[in-house]
Amino acid sequence: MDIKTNQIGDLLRDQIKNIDNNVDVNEVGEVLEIGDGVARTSGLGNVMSSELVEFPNNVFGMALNLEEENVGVVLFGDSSLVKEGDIVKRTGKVVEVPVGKELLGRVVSPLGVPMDGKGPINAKHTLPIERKALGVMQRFPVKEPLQTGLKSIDSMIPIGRGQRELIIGDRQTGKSAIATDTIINQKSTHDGDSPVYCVYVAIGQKASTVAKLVGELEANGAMEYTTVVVANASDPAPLQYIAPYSGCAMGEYYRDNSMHGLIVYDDLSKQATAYRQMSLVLRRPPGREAFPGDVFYLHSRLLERSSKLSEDLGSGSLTALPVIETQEGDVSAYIPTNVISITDGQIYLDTNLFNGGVRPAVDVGLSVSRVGGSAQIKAMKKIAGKLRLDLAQFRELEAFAKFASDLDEATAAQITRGRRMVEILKQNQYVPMSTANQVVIIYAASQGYLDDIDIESVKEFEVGLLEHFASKASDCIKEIDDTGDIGDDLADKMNKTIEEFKKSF
Amino acid sequence: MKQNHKKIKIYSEALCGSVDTFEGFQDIKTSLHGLAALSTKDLTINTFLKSKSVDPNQKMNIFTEAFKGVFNDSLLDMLLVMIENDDINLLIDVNKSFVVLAKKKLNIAYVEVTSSSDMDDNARIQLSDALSNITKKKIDINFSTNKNLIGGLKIKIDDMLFDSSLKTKLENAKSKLIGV
Repeated sequence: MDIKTNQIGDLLRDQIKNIDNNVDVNEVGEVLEIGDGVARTSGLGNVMSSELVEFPNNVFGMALNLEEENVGVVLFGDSSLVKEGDIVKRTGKVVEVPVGKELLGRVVSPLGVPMDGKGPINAKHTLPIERKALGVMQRFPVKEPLQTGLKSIDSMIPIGRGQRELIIGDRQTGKSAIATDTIINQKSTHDGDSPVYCVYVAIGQKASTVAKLVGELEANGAMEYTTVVVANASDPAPLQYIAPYSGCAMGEYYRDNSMHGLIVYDDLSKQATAYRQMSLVLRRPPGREAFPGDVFYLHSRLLERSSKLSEDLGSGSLTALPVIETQEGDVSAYIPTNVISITDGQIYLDTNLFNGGVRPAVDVGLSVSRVGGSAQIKAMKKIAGKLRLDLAQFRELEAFAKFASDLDEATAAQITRGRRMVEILKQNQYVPMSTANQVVIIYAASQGYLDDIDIESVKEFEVGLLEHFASKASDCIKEIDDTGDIGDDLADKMNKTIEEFKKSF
Repeated sequence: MKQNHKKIKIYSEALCGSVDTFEGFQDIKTSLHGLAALSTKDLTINTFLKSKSVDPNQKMNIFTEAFKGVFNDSLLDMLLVMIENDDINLLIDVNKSFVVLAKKKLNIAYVEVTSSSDMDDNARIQLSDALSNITKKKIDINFSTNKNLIGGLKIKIDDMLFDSSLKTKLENAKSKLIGV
C-alpha cells in the first residue's frame, strides 16, 4: 500500500483541528489527608453524593461523606499515587457504567473497564450504578419460571423471572456451583424467544478462582450471553462495595428493554465486609458486628432493583441470585438474617449433605421459594408435590429407622422410596438438565418405578431411561415441552415407556 | 476534637468581627500566617508558647512586649486570650477558619495564578484588575511559576480552576487522539 507523508500530515491536521481548544474549567478541592483508601478534601462545595471525582495520576474516587468542613472520598485506585495538597476535580457525574449487549462475553471491572484484554467496549449506553428501585405499580407478579437445570431446585424450590432467591451456606458447599450451573442452563433459552442474559458479579474472590470460572463458562458456551464483573480480593474495598451496583445497572438494561436478565452476586458477605471497612475508615459509627447502621439498606436497595416489570413497561425482568457465606452454619448472624428477610426465599446448602455426597447439597427442609408453584410449569407442579411429601416423610422416618431393627412394610417402603428420591436429586456440576427430562425422571421415581432398583444403579437407570425416552419416546418429551403439562394420555404413554425400559434394564 | 472545633469557631468569629476592610483582612492574615510559620520554624518560640511551666501572665507580658506595634491591637488582644486559655496550638486552624469567614464577609475571592514564566508587575496588575472586574469581588491574589506548564496560565479562583496551560491542552489532545 502506497502511503504518502503529506496524506498522513493532512490526516493529523484534520484530527487536531477538531480538538476542542477551550480553557479547561473545573470545580476543584484540595486533599487534606489521605490514607487507607480514603481522602479527606477541602473545597468541592457543590459535589454530589456518589459523584465521581478525579485525582492526579488518573486515580478516581467517589464522594461519600459530605460534611460541613470537608468531603470524604473513597479511592478506586492506588492511594499511594495521591498525596496531601493534590488537586481533586469534580467530574459532575455520579458513578456510571457502560451497559448493553456490547458487554456480553466480557470481563469488566466495577467501573466498566475491560479486564480481559479484548479491547475497548464500544457501548452506546451508560447507566448510573445507583438507581432507585421501581414502585409497586410498575411491577408484575413473578410467574414465568427461570430454570436452573438442577432437579432439586426446579422441582422443589422453583425460581421465577424477577425473583430474588438467596443461595446460602458455609464455605465449600457448592454455592457458586449452583449459580454457575444456572447461568449455563440459560443457554437453552437463547434458542427460544425469551433469552436470559446473565451478569456474574465476583466480589472479593481470588483472581485465579474467577479466571477458572470464566474458563468454565467459556467452555460451556455461556460467556456468549454473560458479563462478568470482577472486584478481586486484592482490589480496594470501594471497588468491592460498588461491584454489585455496577452489575445491577448492567442487568437493569435488559430488564428495562423488555428482555430478561439474571444476576448473581457472589458474594454479598464480602461486599458487606468491604463496606464495613470503608465505613470505619470514614469514621461512621459502628453498630452490631462493627457494621455501620445502614448495612441493611446496603442490601435492600440493591435487591429491590430486581423485579418483573408490568406489561406497560415491556414485561422485562431481572432475577437475582445473591450468595451469602455463613460461618459454621450460623444463619442467625447479622448479614444472613438481613438478606434472608429481603429475598423471596433461600436455597440452604448443608455441609453434612455435601460431605455425604449429596450434591447439590440442598437442604430441602430449610430451603424455600416464596414464589412457589406459580413459577413452575404444570407438569412439574404435579410431580413436585409428591416429591416434597415423599422426602419429608423419608426424613422423619429415617431418624427412627436408625434405632429400629424391625420395620413394618409401609415404613420400609417409604424409606426405600425416599432413598431413591435423594439419589435422583443428585446431579453433577456443569450438567444442567432440561425441564422435560427432569419431569420424566422425577415422575418415574414418584410413581415407584425405581423402588426395586438398587441404590447403586439408580444413576445408571436415570441415564438409560432418559436415553430411551430420547430415542423411543421423543414425542413425550416434545409434548411436555410444548404443553408443559402431563395429561392422562401422556401419563399412560410415559408409564408404558418406563415399563418397557425397565424390562430391558 | 469537638471542643477544639468550637473554640476555633469562637476565635475566628471574634477576629472576623474586628475586620472591616480588605487591607485589615490582609494584615491579620499575614500576621497570623507569619506567627504560625515562626513558631513552626523556631523551636524556642514554639516551646515558650506551649510551655505549661511558664506562668501564663508572664507569657502574656513577654508576648506583649515582643509583638506590640507589630500586630494590630485587636489581633494582639485575641492572641493574649489564646495564650491565657492555653489554646495557642490552634493558631493555624484559627487562621484558616478566619480566612473563610472574612472572605465571605468582605466579598473577597482567593486567586492563585500559576504561569510557566515569571509575570512582570504590569501584567500582574492588569490580570488582577481583570479578575476583580469579572468576579465582582476584591481579589486576594498570589502568583507562582511552574515551568512544567510549558506555556499559558492556570488560574484558581476559590474552588474553580481555569486551566489554559499548554501542558493540559497537549494532554487533552493526546487522550482525544488516542481515544482513551
